[in-house]
Amino acid sequence: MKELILNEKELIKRCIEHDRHAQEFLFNQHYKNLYVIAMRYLSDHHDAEDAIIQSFVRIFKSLNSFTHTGQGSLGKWIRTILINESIRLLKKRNLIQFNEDVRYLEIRHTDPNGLQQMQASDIIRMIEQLPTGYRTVFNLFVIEGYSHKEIAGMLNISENTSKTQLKKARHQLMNKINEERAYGTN
Amino acid sequence: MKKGLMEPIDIDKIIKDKIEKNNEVHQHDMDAARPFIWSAIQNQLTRKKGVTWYHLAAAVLLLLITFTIVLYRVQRGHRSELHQLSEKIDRLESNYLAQAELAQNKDVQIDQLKKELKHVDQQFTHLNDIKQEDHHPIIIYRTDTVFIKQTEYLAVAQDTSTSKETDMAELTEPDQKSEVAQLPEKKVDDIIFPGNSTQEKHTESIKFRFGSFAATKN
Repeated sequence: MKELILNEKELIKRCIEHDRHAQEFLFNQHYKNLYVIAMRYLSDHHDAEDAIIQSFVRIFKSLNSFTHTGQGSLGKWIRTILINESIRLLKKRNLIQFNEDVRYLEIRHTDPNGLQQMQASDIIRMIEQLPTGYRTVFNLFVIEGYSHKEIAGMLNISENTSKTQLKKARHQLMNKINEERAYGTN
Repeated sequence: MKKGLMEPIDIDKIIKDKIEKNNEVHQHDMDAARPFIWSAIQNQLTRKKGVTWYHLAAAVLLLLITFTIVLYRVQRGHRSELHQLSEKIDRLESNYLAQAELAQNKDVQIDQLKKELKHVDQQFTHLNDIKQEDHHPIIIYRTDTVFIKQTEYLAVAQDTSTSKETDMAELTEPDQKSEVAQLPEKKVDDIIFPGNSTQEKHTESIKFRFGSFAATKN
């Protein structure tokens, strides 16, 4: 019978000792969240699965090097590993392309209520439909909270490119939301 | 905030809030993929890693180091062996020289001894000649002699080469007269006569040999 491991430190210790049950417990604890994140970056189920597999293998192998700094620190560490793995996969498959064109970046007639009323799943799907460059920078900046400097370092691009990509992502996303809203009201 | 317009930061905030609260997107797909993903993770964790380039490089390096150590040791062994051999050769060479010197000395000694031997040999030859000249073999015949007055021994000196034949002839065919006549007279001065002091040390003309004595007895 599977027991519930509530203590993160105990869980880490048992995972390091190659306790299969503890490893499975850790996997189940973070699987859903990681799947959604991987999908946001990769927008492909197979790629997301690959990223999750590689991330968990790396997590279990390098758990002994992890320093526990409080409840939730393990989740943050796992999330960072998955994001890095997703970016690595994108780079490997040469999927990230950055468009430097900054025309048509004005977001007009954005209704705050319209955005609030949108379903989360719809917004997630819209983000997933963004071009890879836009989507990656948007995810890193808006969801993960990285600065443009950090994003530039992670993606080997300039800070301006990161900013442009973010603006374009925002513009495209809002326009899509507006279109969706307009289509819905009509 | 103007009516109908939103600041980008507000848009970001709303989107972030909405996304973080929702985990239900792709629910069906993620549930379907879960067993596959978990088994794949387990497989990768339990799978033994193949030989990578750095393993190979380390192996080659280890081999190289081992080979170098072995080669160095063998060379060192050979060098010490050669050193020992050269020492032995030096020792043998010095020994040989000493032996050669000794042999030369012995040769000289042998030469000297040969010379001495030759000298001694010459001396002995000379002495032998002298001895041969001085001493002829003396054969003493015992003869029973019947004396009229007293018994007397007669010593006869005779040459060995001729005496044998004549003796045999004499013994087989005793001829009293001729025998007596043939026998050379010998002085008895140098013959020791045992016992009888009254014996005459003069040559006697009347002598009878054993054969003749036997004949007369019969």
